[in-house]
Amino acid sequence: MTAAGTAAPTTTPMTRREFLYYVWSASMALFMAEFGGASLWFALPRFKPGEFGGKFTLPVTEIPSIDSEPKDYPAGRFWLVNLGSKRATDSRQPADYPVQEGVMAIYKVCVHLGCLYKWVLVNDRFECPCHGSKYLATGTRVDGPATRNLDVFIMRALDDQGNELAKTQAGDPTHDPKAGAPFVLPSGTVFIEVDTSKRIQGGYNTKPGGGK
Amino acid sequence: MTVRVVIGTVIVAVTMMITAFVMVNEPNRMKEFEEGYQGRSIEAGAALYQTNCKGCHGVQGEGIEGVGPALNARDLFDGRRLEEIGWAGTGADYVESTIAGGRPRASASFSNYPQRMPTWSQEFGGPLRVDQIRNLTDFVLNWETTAMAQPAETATPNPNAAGTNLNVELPVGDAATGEQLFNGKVTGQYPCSACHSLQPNQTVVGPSLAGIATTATTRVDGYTAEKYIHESIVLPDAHIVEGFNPIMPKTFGGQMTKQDLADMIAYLMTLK
Amino acid sequence: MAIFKLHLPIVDDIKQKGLKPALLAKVDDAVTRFTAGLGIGDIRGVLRGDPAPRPNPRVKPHSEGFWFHMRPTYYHNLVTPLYPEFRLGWLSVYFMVFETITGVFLMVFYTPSPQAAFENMLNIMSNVPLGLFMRDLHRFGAEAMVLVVALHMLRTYLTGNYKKPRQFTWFTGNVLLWVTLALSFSGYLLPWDQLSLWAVTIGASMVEAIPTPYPLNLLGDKFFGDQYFIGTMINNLVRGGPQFNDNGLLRWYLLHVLGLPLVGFIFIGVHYYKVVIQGHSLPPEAEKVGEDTAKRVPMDQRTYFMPDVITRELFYVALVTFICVFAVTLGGYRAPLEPHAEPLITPLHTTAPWYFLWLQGMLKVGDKVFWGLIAPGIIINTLFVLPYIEVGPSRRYADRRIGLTVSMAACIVLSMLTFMGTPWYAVSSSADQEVIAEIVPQTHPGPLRMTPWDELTVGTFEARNWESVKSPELQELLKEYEHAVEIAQAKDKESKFNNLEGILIIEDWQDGLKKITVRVTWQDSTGNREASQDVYLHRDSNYGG
Repeated sequence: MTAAGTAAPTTTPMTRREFLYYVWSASMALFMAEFGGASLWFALPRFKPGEFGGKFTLPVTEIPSIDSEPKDYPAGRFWLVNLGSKRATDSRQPADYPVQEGVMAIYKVCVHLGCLYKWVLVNDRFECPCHGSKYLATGTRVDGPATRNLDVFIMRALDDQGNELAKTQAGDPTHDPKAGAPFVLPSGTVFIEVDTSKRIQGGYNTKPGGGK
Repeated sequence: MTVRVVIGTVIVAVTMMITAFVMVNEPNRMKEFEEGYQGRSIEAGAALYQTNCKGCHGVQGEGIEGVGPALNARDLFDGRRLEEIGWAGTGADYVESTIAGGRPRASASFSNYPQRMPTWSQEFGGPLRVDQIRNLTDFVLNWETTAMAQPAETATPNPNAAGTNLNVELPVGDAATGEQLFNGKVTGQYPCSACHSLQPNQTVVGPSLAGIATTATTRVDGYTAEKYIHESIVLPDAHIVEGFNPIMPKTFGGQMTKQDLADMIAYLMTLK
Repeated sequence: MAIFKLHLPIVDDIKQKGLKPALLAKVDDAVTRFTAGLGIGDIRGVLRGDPAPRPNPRVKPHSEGFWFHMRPTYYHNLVTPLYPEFRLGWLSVYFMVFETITGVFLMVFYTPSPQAAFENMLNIMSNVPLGLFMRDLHRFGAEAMVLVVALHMLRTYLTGNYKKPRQFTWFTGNVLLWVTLALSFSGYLLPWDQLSLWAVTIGASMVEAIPTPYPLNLLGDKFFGDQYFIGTMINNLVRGGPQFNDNGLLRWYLLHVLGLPLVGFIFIGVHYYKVVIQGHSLPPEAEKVGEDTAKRVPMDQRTYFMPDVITRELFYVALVTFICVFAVTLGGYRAPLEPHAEPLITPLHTTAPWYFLWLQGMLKVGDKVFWGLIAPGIIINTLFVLPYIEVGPSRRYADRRIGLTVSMAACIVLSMLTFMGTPWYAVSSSADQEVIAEIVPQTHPGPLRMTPWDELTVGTFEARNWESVKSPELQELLKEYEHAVEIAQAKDKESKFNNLEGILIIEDWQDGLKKITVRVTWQDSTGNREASQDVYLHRDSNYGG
């Protein structure tokens, strides 16, 4: 055979040897894929409980009293809020994001560009020192350049045996008002567990004064 | 050549299967490994405890009266001790930080343990590495099962202790045993001879006890010699001899059993 | 109306030839560029085993590409079978790459500090998925690499491939041997457990033995107060202090991950370049004495790289990878991890890694300056310059009887020295310590720790009554104990240990924790004596066995 090999590669039929080479290459490609997946699994960081990125288990006594100011939990990078009727019926709350009563764990990082916002007692709201985003204790944005509400961590209420009694619902708060919503602690709750590896992004909120 | 291709494919496939098998078992293996090393940490802690801790805290963590509190004790694990001293963190943190930093002074409700606990962690000038502190912590915390199996009780002092009540009934004392106690030969505890000489007019730290049986009758009106000696041991500040400071330990009442006290009084009464 | 026209050549092609042929041509073009000269059809031709067309496009990746540039386009038929090379050079490079890859994975989770290193090892093995797998692979590869490199050197010597014109290749190969040994040795220190610290301390201590010659020692005495200052200084450089500590670990880590690999890759480059440019030597019997015809390979003696050699190489990659994976999984190879390094306690029977046992054996013979520095120095340097002093023109085995005999004798002596380096030779403490160390060694788990926890029933057991014990595992342990006692008693020629007996006392100590006392009793001139060691064993601590 002469230079015919280069001319029309699609016309010459595959030989058995050629086919076996392709099978071998496929097996090596699969092995590389398995190796790649294993490498990813190898390299992804894992967090122990009590480490940010892991789960924090707190006694239920750590929850602040109803409608009081949010409680700072710096090790887990979240605020614990207990929303009662006063906060649920706050006139500043945008109508697009009605509030349920209950507890939630709000991520301390502002959803604008990553600074840690503060609780300003005088104004009864969260205010971010970097670019002025402002949020209510419910986590809803009411002012500033942020484009969504504050993120919350998935929280579970556990009894003394460790059984789950209630849990923050996952989902997208922009479309589902129940996603990330606070829940009332069921009776018999002894511990709450905040999972800082599971974060629900706040709903879309860019209207002046707050709202979608 | 073709053979090589085929065998090569088979080898790659087998390698993939072995790797997949390893990956599937991995979470279990990691957990077992962690438990295994937790076990090894406890083993290392046990050895370190024998070398460094049993002298004050007892071979099985039962504590030594007046020297070191019990570690194999229910109140360490059920939260009572933490509450008493107002510790805000976890019990594990309490144990670890105590071992690491030691105790320069007894904590408030542990005045019956006047001795200082040495600093152990190299971070603070002690002899042990951080991982050794962790080992010791794991070993102490491993007493939880046996400690929690103990009956819950309020922190009553040793019921056999002589206590500070002068009217407590004492058994018959044996002067020979008392002499051994005086010199610290029996348990190594309270060697009175460390502070009180038996030579007349010789002061070591406290007053000489030569002829104390006679002197004791003259010290306080209305006191028998035995009563005076009894009071001087369990409530040392009651009647300080002139020229001496009130530094005699006040813990002997809690440390000595009634029998010990009786033996000691019997012995001292022989020193006419 | 088009405001601007987009001119895409591909669109023209499609219009001209039709969609499928145009795309195919594009792909073919991309493949040709990627492989530096082979189109789809050429590759297919290679895979089918077609004879090479003229002009041969298969040489282009070698002549014009980067990755294949150093690989030869063809080999002589006589060097492609297993003999004479046994693929050992290829295996050495394979393991270098293998170690680099597994090593980089481990680097993700390792910190070179005495405070963190051991903890990192535990983390890798307990909290990183496939961490133990990666570590075992790395350790296995390291030991295999040392073996392969040593065998490669032996083979090269036996076939006389160090002779003219390949003297410099041999020289670079010796450099690579020491790079390999240094890599293995520096890696040994990194886990920072008792074995690491003390094995490497022993190895590095020879540096301290470097003598300070007259008159430097007087100068040293005057200015530094240390007449052995050269040895001290080099020791401080190597260990980062009088003993291994933070500095030392960091230095050896940098050597291990940066310095030595850099030197290694450079020298591999030089070494391999020379091998290819001069051609792989033919077997000695195939050439005329004194001639080197390796480079001129007649057309009918050629085995081409593509497809033959590359297929074989891919096959070997698959095979050796499989062997490594098998070894650390089903084969049961486990990299050991002893307890945390204790700079103030040297375990009994500490030993160097196996490839340095010969050196440890030499050190047991006599003065450490001669046997630790001068003699090894002479041997190593002789090997380096061997081709420049051994200049006989013939590579034939029959013409090199002296050389071959010397090398075989050297191998035998090396084996003897290796045995002498083991702890069982000329290093022993008293009989009681030896017996106890047999049951609870300080360098590895040992029989007691490997006995299943539940079989260690509470009680006092005398070793000589092993037969009366019900549990088979406990019986086995006590039998071994009794055996150790008997051996120690037999070795006791001076009758210092009469009626040597062993006892095992097992107590429940804590929840899931047992205390075992290994006690040895005997009588001597002063009366009844005993020695004991306490060991604590937890139910979960799995020592294997």
